Amino acid sequence: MKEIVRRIGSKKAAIIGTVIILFLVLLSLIGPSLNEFEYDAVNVVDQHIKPNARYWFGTDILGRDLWTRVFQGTKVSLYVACLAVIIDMTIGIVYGVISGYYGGWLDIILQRILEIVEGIPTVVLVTLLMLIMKPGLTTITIALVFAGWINMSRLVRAQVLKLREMEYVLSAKTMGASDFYIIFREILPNVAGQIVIMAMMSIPQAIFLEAYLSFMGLGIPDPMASLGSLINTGFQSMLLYPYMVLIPVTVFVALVVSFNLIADGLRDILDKGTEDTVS
Amino acid sequence: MRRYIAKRVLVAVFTMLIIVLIMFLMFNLMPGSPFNDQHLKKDQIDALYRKYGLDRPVLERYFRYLYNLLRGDFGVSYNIQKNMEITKILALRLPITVRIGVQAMIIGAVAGIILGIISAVNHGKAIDPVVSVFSMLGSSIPSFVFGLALLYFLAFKLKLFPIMYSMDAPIASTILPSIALSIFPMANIARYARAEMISVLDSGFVDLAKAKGVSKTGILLKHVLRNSLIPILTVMAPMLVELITGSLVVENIFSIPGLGNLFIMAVQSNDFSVSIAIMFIYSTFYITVMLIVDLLYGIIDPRIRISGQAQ
Repeated sequence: MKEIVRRIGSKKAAIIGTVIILFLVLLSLIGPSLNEFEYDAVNVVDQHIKPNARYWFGTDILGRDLWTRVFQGTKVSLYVACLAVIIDMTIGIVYGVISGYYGGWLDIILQRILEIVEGIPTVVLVTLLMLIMKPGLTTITIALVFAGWINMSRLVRAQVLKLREMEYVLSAKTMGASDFYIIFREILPNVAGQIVIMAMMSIPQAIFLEAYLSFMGLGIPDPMASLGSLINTGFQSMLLYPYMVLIPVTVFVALVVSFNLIADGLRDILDKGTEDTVS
Repeated sequence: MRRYIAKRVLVAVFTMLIIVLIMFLMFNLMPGSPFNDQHLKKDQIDALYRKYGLDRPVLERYFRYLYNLLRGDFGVSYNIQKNMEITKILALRLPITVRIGVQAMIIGAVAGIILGIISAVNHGKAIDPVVSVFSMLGSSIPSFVFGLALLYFLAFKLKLFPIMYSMDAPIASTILPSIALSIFPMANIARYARAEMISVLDSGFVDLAKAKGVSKTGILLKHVLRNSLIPILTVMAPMLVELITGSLVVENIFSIPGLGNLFIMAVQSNDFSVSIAIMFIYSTFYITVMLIVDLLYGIIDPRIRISGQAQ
């Protein structure tokens, strides 16, 4: 563990990413309460005010304070990021383990289901879901649950298939270990590194999916805000009020790029880690 | 090999059938109807439902739809362009989307490979990390951000390109969206090309070619590029798929009358028949690309073919 921390320390890019993320997490938690405005407080007198000392990020067409709205929106993106990891860690792993460990007809059925779900382009699948349900955070959650587990379950299944045949697993079996013990104590710890990398890589994808939906007007409804919906409203008046799109885009890009930096750094560190222990 | 191909094709066709069925069931569950006009009375709506056969059970409609689909008939639009044949609507819009996609892929592939070469040849020099940073940014920033930036600076501020799509200037008005879409494949191809070429540059036959006095460009073009092209091709296919998502948003930004734009319109106005047709096209494209990748992997790596499991 110390070794991993030391290696992370040697990756400047990953450190920068982590610092930016921590900063954004902090801002999304305390940012909205740093000034006196509420994210949905309409103030018709102060429409389209450029960023100044009173409105740090300016106001939108309804005079709502953009500082508050941007960090309210960041909160949505961070929620989606956590959600993506949770889905990977639960559905993804369980599906992969069942399919890989028990095998047989169960594996065949589960893999056919996976192929079909995978065969529908994510965007189409998610757009369809948004049509049936009301746009909102619950619907985005469900959409992510449908689309988010596939890559992880693939990875876990492939690894479990490989490790299941290893001699140390066989010896555990002969010593009478239960399936549960073998899966959680013998197999999964050996896949942990790859699971962490995969989970990190699914975060930017999930954030992007939410932004895409909100940008298309299928995501978070007004007066709630997400970075995608802020970019969308900003885009509509971009030519007159560029700050309205520039600020949410900057925060969005900082968020996605930072998560990618961390994922890249982790991949270098953990992949090298497995190589080192093998050789 | 033939058995493997047959199996993959069969799975793909079956997936397609299930997808169409799921779309039918979902649109059936969906609240709202294509005939949302307040002036329509209940019996008029019923008459409309009868006219389009929407009063029949889902399964019957499903099979009739499949039958028509096999003859290349997507049905008619319910409310975007009333009673217009969907094939005709698509014939106007599909070429625009395809043009943007193809242009984006060409720009992305050519620029990506060139960047990859530059970076691999100068491995360890100052330019290498610059390209790496570009590929990192390019593969993590979504295309709509690039689209917005290009629209604002090149079209609005410098007035080099039209802001809105114009039918009279199809090339000038598709350049910016193509560039916006091309960044993602460009960045990824550059990254793969770099890694691939560095490993090829290290191999023995390159040393041999050097020893035989082949010129530097000769080595690059004849030996290195050729040997790294196949792996690059296999990673390019999934990127084509990413273009679908990108095109939906980018068409919206540049107000291009393409497929993505129509899809959003159809979805928002409950026009099932158009939505299903477009989703069918997207899914077919997606599944075909995935199938080709699977088959390509199968040809390159016989182990996959034998176990029948392409990862």
